[in-house]
Amino acid sequence: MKSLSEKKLFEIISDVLRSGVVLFMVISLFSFLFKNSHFHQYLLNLALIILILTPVMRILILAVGFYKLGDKRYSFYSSVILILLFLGLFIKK
Amino acid sequence: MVELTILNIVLIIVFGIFIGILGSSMGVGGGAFIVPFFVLVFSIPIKYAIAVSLVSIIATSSAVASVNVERGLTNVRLGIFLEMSMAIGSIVSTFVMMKTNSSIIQLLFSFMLLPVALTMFLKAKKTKKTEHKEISLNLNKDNKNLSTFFDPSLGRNVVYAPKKLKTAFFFSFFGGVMSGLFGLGGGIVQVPVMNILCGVPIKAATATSNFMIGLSASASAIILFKNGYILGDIATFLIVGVVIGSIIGMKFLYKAKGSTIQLFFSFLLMFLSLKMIWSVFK
Repeated sequence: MKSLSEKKLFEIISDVLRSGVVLFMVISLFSFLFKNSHFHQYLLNLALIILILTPVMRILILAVGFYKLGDKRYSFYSSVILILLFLGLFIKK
Repeated sequence: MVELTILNIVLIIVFGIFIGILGSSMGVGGGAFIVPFFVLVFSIPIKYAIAVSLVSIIATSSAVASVNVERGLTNVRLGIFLEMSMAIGSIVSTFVMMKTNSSIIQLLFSFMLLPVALTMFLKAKKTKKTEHKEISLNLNKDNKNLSTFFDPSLGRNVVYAPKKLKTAFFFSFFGGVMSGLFGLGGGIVQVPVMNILCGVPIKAATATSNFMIGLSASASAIILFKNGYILGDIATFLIVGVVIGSIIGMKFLYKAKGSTIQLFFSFLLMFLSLKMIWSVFK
């Protein structure tokens, strides 16, 4: 991880974002093979969770990545966003 | 809620392609079309339509940002800074949206489409002027915020330094509100704030906005998913179309000098707004 450069960090971010969308599409479309069973809804929910958490994952990686790059300010900003997202989990209808 | 016949699936995918092209090439417009589409065509309650819109915004943002971050078009640091206030706006407004009567949300949404349409109309008129001005902005080499990206349509590097960041931080909160309350993503606020206020070139502003709206949509979608508002079946087929459309749209964004198509869409949005208002009082 010592050799992490900003370019490399942004490449990782790109890969994470791309993978999130691809995984969502593969799992959600695959779920339609089990249309009339509970497994369909289970897979669909899994796909949705992966997609919804994709931007969260990129913030997590940026928080760690900026810290490793010595950019503490943006690592802190990313961490603040993560905390805000976590607090959002406690909001109910 | 909606019967997924073959015809409906095809209709949703084709509509998704249209939204993907629109969202990725202009940075705004995705949610503004998705919500009226599901409310008016499929009679889905607006809160569920907003939830579907947000999920598709995450997909568009992620697909487009994955390319723009690699190309250096996205200003990641600026995006993260503004995302802090945007996330607060998203979370607070999602809570308000869940607590508010659907008819009120639909009415507010319809009125919100009018300034969105107007912004799109004005942006279409100003695009050319801005592109010529932006190259000479803030070229003080001592500026710590100096950023650069290669613009193939100009055949050169564009150097800029975002300014008035504190004011932009304040306005980004309202970008988040657009996301949580109306499922609009917030690009309609972020792109003008970054372009006009911060002096970020329009292409970098659009790319950075696309990067940011994924997170604000995610902040809202987490809450809506937990509370059972997301229709997974519909979202899946919409996103298939959106991702295909985004890939087409990204090529358009990277090469295009400007767009007059926005004029057409601004009039279409005005029409949708009136139709939504009409459906509330019908």
